[in-house]
Amino acid sequence: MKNFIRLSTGLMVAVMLTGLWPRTAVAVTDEEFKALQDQMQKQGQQIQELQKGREDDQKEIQHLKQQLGDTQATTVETQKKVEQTQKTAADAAAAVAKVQPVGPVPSEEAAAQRNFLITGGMDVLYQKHESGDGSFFLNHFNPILLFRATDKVLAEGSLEMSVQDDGTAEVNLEYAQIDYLFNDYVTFIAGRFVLPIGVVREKIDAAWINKLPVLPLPEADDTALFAENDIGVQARGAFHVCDPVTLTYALFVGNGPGDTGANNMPTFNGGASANGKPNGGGRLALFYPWEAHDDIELGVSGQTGPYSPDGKQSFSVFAVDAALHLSQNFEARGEFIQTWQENTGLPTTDREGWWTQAAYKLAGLNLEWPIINNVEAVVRVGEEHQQGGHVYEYDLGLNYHITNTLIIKGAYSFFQSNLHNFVNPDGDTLDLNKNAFTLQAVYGF
Amino acid sequence: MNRFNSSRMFRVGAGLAVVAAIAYAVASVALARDAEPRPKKKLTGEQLYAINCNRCHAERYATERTDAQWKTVMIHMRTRAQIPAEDAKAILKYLQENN
Repeated sequence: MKNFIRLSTGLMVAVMLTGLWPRTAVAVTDEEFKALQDQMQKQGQQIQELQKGREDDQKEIQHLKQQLGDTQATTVETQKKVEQTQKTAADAAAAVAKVQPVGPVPSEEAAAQRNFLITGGMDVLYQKHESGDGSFFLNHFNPILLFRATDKVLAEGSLEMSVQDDGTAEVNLEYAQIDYLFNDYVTFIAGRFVLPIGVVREKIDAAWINKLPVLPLPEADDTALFAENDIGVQARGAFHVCDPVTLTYALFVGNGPGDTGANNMPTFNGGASANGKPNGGGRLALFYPWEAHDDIELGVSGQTGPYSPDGKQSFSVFAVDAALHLSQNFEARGEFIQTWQENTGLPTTDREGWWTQAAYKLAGLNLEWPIINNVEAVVRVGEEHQQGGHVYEYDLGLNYHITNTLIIKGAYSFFQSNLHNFVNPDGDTLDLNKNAFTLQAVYGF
Repeated sequence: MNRFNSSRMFRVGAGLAVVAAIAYAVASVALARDAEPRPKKKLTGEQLYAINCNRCHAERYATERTDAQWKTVMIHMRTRAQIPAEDAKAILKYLQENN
């Protein structure tokens, strides 16, 4: 600032001495002197304005410097905060790592591709008993619901819907269970499951699989010797004992049958335990396929446990089953079932039943007749001994396979029995000594 | 009750005898075939499908279901029909490759 004033004053003096002074010396009028004075005043004002502008600039520079200092201070503080946050996050991660369980719960569901599927079957039949009126029946609409939660977990259930004689619809829960594939050799099941006794209930009960429109006596609704299902847990699986022979097993614990039902039989409703004591049982079988479509299977199965309210009387089942396939066209099956029912103050009630069945697809004759090639002939022989009587059954059937799962089945069943007033599990009184003609349309989907 | 009358015992015995005779005949044929030395070969998924599925029901077409559906069905059938795990996996692969 001082330098600037000195410079300005010096200039003014120099101007006066070099420029103005000689002219004045020559001749300076008052007007010229006044003009010069005005000019000097203007220059002085301009100098002052410049000084003021410079001062303002200095102030602005100071202000900006202060702002820059503040910003730098804020940046440093923010950086400190970031470092502090990073440290806190690292400490938290280390703490989380320390509290992780030793064996974390598996979470396969996170990566699972879930799938829901409805399969099953349905059948409609026309049945006419000897000396009775024939009628159509919506026998079963049987959807099976499959929900795959993971590659190891399947929730499945089967609804059995039918129309009763009075027109009302009935729905039964045939089974509802969770399957867990524990490993290659064991599958655990929990829920209401079909009992692994014999093979009919588990494997050939579906109408589109059963070769005849009626079930064998020991598993038929009216003359069943043991329960269809139970609530409990089960372990089952299969493995090759020597290639290609397979050993299959099923072991279960369940509530067991209930208190005495119709015909002095236990109730087979598969509900709650009658006495708090579990039933147990299972099936063991060998399956030997020596070629595709050529195989034999032999199995033994059973169940035992208390059924009375006090838990002192037991109900037991023993079954032997066999199946044989020779080519795609011939199948033979058979079962023998024995039951023992203890009674309070009375001898044990024994019941038994057996059946054998053979089926042959006429395609095996190589007649090259399209209609004949789709026909299958079936014959079944069996009998059952109930308390107070017996029933013998002889069935002749013909099946026409429209597709692999759409079948028309016709059968004539000869029954010989001294049980003319037999009370079935539903409490209905039946004459079992009546032949029957049955025509059935069945579809598996 | 006449549980132990000779007629019934005869019928039960006859039935079991028929089953035993068939089993014996089949086993004899099978053993006779096995007596001939044959190279042991691993069964294909298609063969295992025919062996395990046809023993109970008519075979279903592979094209009837998608890959995901077959996977669901195979868990159901492996459990219900007690198919060995390695066979079930080979059958599933066959079905998924041919649907």
